Amino acid sequence: MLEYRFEKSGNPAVLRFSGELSIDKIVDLRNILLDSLNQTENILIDLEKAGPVDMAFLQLLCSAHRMALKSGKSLSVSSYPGPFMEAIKEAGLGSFTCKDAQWRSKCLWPDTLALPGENL
Amino acid sequence: MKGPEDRHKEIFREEANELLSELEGSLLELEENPEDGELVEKIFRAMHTIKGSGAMFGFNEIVSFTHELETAFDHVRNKKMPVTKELIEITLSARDILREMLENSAEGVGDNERAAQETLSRLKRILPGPLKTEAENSRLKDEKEKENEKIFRSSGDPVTYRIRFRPGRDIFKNGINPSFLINELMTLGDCLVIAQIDSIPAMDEFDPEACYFYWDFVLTTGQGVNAIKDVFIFVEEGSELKIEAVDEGDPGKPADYKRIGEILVEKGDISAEALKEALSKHKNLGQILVEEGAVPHGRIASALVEQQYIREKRKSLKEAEAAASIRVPSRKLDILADLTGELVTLQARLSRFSIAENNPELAAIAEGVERLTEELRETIMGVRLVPIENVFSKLKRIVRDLSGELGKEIALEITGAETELDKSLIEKLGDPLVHIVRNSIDHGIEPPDEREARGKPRRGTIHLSAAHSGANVLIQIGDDGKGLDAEAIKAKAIEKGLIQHGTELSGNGLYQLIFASGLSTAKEVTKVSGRGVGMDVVRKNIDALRGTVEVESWKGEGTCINIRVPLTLAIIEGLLVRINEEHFVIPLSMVEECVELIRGANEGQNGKHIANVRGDIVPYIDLRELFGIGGPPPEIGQIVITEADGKKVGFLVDQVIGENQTVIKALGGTFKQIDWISGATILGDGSVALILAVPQIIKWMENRETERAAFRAE
Repeated sequence: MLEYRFEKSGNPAVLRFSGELSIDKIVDLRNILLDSLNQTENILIDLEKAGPVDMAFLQLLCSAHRMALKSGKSLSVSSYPGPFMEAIKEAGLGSFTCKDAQWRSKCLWPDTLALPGENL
Repeated sequence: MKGPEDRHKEIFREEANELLSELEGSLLELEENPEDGELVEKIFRAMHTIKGSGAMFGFNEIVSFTHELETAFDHVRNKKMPVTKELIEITLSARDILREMLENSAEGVGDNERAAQETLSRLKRILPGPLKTEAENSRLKDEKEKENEKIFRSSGDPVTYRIRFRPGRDIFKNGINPSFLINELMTLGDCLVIAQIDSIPAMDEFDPEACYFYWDFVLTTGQGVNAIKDVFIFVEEGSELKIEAVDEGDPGKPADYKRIGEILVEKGDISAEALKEALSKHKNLGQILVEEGAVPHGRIASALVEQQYIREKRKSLKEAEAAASIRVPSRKLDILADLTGELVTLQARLSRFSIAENNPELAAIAEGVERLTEELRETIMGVRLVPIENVFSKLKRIVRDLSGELGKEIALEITGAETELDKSLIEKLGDPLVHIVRNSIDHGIEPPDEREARGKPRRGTIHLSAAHSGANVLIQIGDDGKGLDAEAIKAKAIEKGLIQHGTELSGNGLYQLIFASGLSTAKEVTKVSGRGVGMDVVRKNIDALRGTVEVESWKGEGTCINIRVPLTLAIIEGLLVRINEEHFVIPLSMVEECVELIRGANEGQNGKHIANVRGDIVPYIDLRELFGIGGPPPEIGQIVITEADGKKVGFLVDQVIGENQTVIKALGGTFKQIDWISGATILGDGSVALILAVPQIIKWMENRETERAAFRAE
């Protein structure tokens, strides 16, 4: 059973998840995120009480973030609690992987790796 | 209603059943063709896939049973055990048990433990080593992991690989978690993982069950490429896997690594044209490429990470190498080399004595001493080898300063700087190389405007390279300048009396004249060159190193000077020859072949010594005559044909004794003026053999011929 709470009154609106967030619930998770995004301009994802997350959830967050940017909205993550951070590092994610330079400053992912200076 | 987990288990059962059917067919085929390695590989992979996928879905019984079978076929794969009828039979019944296990797991009934144990016991009896229990296996696995880590850290040959893994979109749907693969890859060695996320669409086009991630890895492991492939073995269908070795972990390599553009082109992330275009804008390459949408930022990041990773690896390798070495004064190495030389001489005496004594025990001792001396000699010579990089790097400064001074634009390209040769040679090569490079800059490369007018790039290039070539090192100094003017050299040589009018000379033979003292074709003398001194010094220095110099030149296109020097100056491979009671050594690296000469029948005509070797006319020198050795010559003599500076010349001797490890001893100052001899060596019986300076003797012979021709003309 997926546990979440959407508090849309504030700005940003907060979407709180708890428990395991993985492929088994990914379709529901997608629907929740999409619904929430449709209802507000700015959204903050709170994963403080979330359990283990898998790669399917990580790419869903990335996709939701892209959707928000595309439609001129904002989506961010409140913090990176232990299991979430572990999954990010394990997947090889970090702000350095961001698709476009202009999105990088708003990237969802933390700086997990210090990039070296470029030697052309 | 079935949950996703049940659905995944069902998919696994279906796939495993398919694999078991395939396995049965392959086993029957293997029975007919037990030497077929491809079939063994196919069987191994089927087992590995069942085991790997089974582990993901919690089929522990199947996993541990298949693990044992896989171990057996790993032995077969590694040629540690043969394919026998019994192995096929046991594996076939194991396959049946696996099928039952799958069926029972679906129905949640049945117990296959007994049948499985019986099969494993039968397998145990035919395995080369004992089959371990599961607990033992787990312990051994831990130990193996630690051992692997040790091997990886200490084997000295870890290789760094660049890996791109793009799984099939349905990998999540198939119940496979890529984290397992990443974690397994991490156990192989030092690994960096970079996710690529440019394929993830915004939510309106997003399928939450599809996998859009793909990954780049930089992995350093000593376990080989197959260990990497094995990680991905059960997801390879529908996935893309590219593995490239990018660094062999050679501590001799410079710490610098490829540029970002090169890495991106190598990985196929951008085309060479796109790189060229981006570079022409003189801005930060990554920025340009991302701004133009030529490549997603993640891929630039991946290239940057690879660049930094390999630089750090190389740096730490170099540091480790430096920490593992000690500084020793070179004088001590010289003493060690001298002592080894003495030992080689003494060992030759011992071998000779043991043969004469015909004592098997003494012969065995002599053989042992010979083997150890040989090893010691090679080790000491190896210690004395240093990279030529030191000499080459000094030339960088010369090219930079001199080209600026002369208003020329010149790039210096260096290859093979890591080539090693004896330290004493390195010291003596410096001056000749400086002379040649200065000449290239001054006379070879044209001023930028002149080059442009000739349709050449304004910037000229001097290319320095070094490479091992048998027992020699070949050093090439090439330029893309105007080349040598053959006519001017000829005219100048005639003017200086070096050659006669009408002398037919071309190619290397003609260009060798540039090494003659006082010959310069430069119309004006600059402070750099043009006085005709320098190149003759080059020749003398190279001769002193028992080396050779050849010149190739193409008018308007450039010149290339090829210098060959022996790897070491202390001990050479020689050919020992005898004339009456005297012995001589001819450096083996110059010897082409030996032919017989029947005295009187095909000896010299008109005072000239010329031999016909399979239709080729080869001049030869009678060493008896040259050194004034008395005694009657044998009926049948032997000609040792040598090649130096592109010319073939023979040396007539009484007898060719054979190969000889020649420890070179310098001759005293009294013999300094004798060009024909480059040193001496002490033979096993204590007598002395002189080492012939082949190029100098050939030169002397040529000069003599020229003088005779001049005399006849007068």
